[in-house]
Amino acid sequence: MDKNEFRELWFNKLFTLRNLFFIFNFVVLGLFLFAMAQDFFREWRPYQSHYKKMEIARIKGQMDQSPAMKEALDAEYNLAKSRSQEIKQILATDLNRVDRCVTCHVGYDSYTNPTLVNEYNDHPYAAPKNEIHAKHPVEKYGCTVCHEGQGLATNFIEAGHMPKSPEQKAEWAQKRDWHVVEYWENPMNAGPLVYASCYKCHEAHPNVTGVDIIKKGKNLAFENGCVGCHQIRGEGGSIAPDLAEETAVKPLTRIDFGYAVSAGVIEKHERTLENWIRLHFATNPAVLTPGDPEGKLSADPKKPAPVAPTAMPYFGFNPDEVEALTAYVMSLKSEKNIPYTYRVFSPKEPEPKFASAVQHGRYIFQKHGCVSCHGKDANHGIQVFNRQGDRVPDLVKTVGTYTNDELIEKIQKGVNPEAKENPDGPTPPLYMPSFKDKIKGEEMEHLVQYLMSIAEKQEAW
Amino acid sequence: MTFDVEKIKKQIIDSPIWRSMFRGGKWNDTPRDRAQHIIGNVWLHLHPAKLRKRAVKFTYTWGLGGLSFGLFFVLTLSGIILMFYYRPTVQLAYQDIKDLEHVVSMGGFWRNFHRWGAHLMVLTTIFHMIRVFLSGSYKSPREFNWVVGVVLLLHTLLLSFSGYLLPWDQIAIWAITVGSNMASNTPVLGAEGPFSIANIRNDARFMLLGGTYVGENALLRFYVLHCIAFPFLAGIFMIVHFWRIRKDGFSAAPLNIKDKTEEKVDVWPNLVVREYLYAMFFMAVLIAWAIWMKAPLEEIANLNVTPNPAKAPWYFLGLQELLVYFDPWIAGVVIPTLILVGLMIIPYVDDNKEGVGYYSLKERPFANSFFLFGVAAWFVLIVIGTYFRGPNWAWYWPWENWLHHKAPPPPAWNVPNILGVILMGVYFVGGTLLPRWVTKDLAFKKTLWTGVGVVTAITLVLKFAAAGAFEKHLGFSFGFAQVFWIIFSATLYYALGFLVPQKFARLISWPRYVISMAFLLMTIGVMLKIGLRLGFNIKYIFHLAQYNFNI
Repeated sequence: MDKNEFRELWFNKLFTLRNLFFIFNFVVLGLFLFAMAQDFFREWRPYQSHYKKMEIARIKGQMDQSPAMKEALDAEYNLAKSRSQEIKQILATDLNRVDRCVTCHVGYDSYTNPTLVNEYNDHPYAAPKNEIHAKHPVEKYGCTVCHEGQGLATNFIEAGHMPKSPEQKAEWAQKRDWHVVEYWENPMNAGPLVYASCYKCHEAHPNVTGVDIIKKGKNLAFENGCVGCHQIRGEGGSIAPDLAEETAVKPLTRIDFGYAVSAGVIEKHERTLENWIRLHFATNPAVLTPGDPEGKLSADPKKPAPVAPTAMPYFGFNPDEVEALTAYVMSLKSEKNIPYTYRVFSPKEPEPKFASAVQHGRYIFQKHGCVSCHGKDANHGIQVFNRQGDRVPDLVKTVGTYTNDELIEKIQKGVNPEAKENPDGPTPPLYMPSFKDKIKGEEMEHLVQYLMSIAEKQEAW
Repeated sequence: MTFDVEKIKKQIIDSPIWRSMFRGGKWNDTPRDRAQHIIGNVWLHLHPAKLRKRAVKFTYTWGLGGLSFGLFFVLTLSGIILMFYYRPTVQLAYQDIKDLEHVVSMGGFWRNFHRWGAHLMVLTTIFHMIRVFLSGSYKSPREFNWVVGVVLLLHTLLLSFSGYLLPWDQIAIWAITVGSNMASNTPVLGAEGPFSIANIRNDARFMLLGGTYVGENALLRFYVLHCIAFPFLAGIFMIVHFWRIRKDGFSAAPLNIKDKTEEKVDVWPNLVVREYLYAMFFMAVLIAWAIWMKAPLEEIANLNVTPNPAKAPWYFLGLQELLVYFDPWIAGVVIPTLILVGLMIIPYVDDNKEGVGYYSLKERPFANSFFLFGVAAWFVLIVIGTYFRGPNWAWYWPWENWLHHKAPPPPAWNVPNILGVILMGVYFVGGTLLPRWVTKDLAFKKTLWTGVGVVTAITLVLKFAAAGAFEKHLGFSFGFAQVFWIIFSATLYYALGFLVPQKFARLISWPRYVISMAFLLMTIGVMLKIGLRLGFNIKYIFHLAQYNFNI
């Protein structure tokens, strides 16, 4: 085919202006129809049609079983048959939420499912019938105030579903191309983590099954003395961030996952606040925030300004403890716009009573978080980067060298900053804070008595 | 029963109702009918009835002007659709966008369409301007229409920029924060600009935002600007633009001005059908794009959480990249103003009679090389700002992970003021006069390569022989980065700032020559400053910190 023939065929036969006119019109029309179809056939439609079929079949079955009921069930049957496919939403106006979860999870509330009797586990998931669900009807509370996730969304991934086990994660990844929802701060609280939401309203954790994971976390936090460095709503040490006001509500943008991702302890696409908190218990926190001990990132390489790694030690929790602590820290999140009428306040828990001053002193030692650095029995100080001597003193060995008054003064004053081991290195990240305003009077006396009681006896020279 | 289509057609067309609606009678496909079709139709009569054959050719206009208008048109339509659902308040805006995405029928599609259409319109408008420049279409008598075109380009950018805020998510408010902070660096009228007479409560940014930060007032202002003010103004200028095309004559001028016999074709259907086809082709592309890619929507706007980096919309990223090298009052105010002014005065400065109505590099070497260099620099800076800048505006290669930390840039130093003044004086005054002084007829290629060779040789000699001395006395290391920047800067100035004007612009009249050289030297100067900063860590050539006047 020579060039002229080709031109003849191409421009004068096939793609004449007239033909192009039709081609382009139909392409545009076709694409637009495709867009409309794509918009129409959304993810939630099959769930609703499936539910409708099952509901009709259920009522039909009942009607067939007992003809006497036929008339009574007639209205219900017609209602089920006339059910239309539509986006359903719960407006929990008090809680500032619009939850469209029931668009797929059909049959949860009396609006979408007037009879509220269904056992359908697979369209796509049935809410367990329990005390909590009974006391918090979805019509009033919606879903996301407890479960979190993006209530506005109407598809699986955007809704912020989170798997509750690695097996479920693998299944979702394979079946639904699942990934963590992007650009939404609160993906769902999967599994027992949902109990973290109770605390938004119930200050004292209510006595319901399941919530013990939070209580376990709380106990662990107390035993390990988190408040020695962290505050919880303003109470506790000021070395580290406030777990309630900062950590539990930290925007994802502010979290620096760089080192954690480099170290391979988390995948880049799994950056969530929940995982950030979890990593602090599951791995050595120094991996997450190694600082810049050699000053490599300093503005002026000639005058390096080294930054110490995080002061938080590695506690070596087991997986259950990790989950409990994660759930506990997540539970500290407070939501400002939940109205007061929804909240259940609790009086402050009374201090336990102790038989002896020394026992009370030991409690004080725990309560103020001394244990986090000095060890549970004041016998094992943790490592501190670039602190002179490399470790927090083991009190059992050192307190014996103090008189009572000296010890009180030391606790009241603290040591800030601690002396450096390597003078060119960074300031040690951990220091003995001043407890002047926190431990007073009898508490201080008993604490000192306790410390003196465990001090190793100095051998006479 | 048989239908005589022709008869029915005739009956319809001849009916009094049809005749009252459309001017003209039965269609006979005569030249008169075709002309009447254009002239008698309010929408089409902005076209002439006949057109030179070359002007119909796709590769002359690339359909870019028409496409820009077409995109403006479909953006208006999709914008109207979106306006039915969108409420411009801080409490509702973000949720309305989410609703569009998740609930409203076709809401997501129209949002994507509007977003991508806006980006496409910025591109087509820029390329339309490049096309008009390269085909010399701005020359007499169309000078003023070029000016109107520049105003329309500005409106396109403003339309896109003001729309950026409306979704009220993180990229929205932070892009607008970056953009509006430039306004506060306006000389005199901005609170942080040089020689400021304003404070943050009455400066240029306050006027733009209706507050000291991007909040409710800013959202409402941008909404009104985006939906009413800018489309209104753009519409007015568009009417002028089209009217002037029609009245000044379409730019595909005959090659031989005296030849009045050049063949002409009927606009209906030859041009109209082509315009329609380009429009439909781009509609198809745009619809496919809207189906394929979702418009971005990040977390809800939060003034307490700054994303790092906070980037402006892509078409302003070149200017944001310049913030590395210049203070905001230069990068954000002076340079954009000079670009706009410079573009507007082009037709009045360029009095070269050649190259009107066709693409020609050879007949307009100075104009074309200067303009294309400017366009290339603009896009290179945008690409750098978009793909090569990560957290803390540090340099990240596209394959590098932004989560990894980078050391901040080394500390910069300032050239002593007296030296800076001398350097700039020599550069601008000497640079302007030098090409005019050298009257010898230089062999372009030979002179160019000799010059480049000499520069390279000297730099390499300095690198290998005197690097230690530089390190010792001036305190910077003389590595291959420095070698690159010296050769780049010197070559750029030598080729574009000296050889091209010496060869091609030396003999134009003095005022035109001085204005051209001033803009040329400023353009090259931006590149030289980049070289000084990246190669030698120089922050300011001239600094008056107490007045915020630093260059």
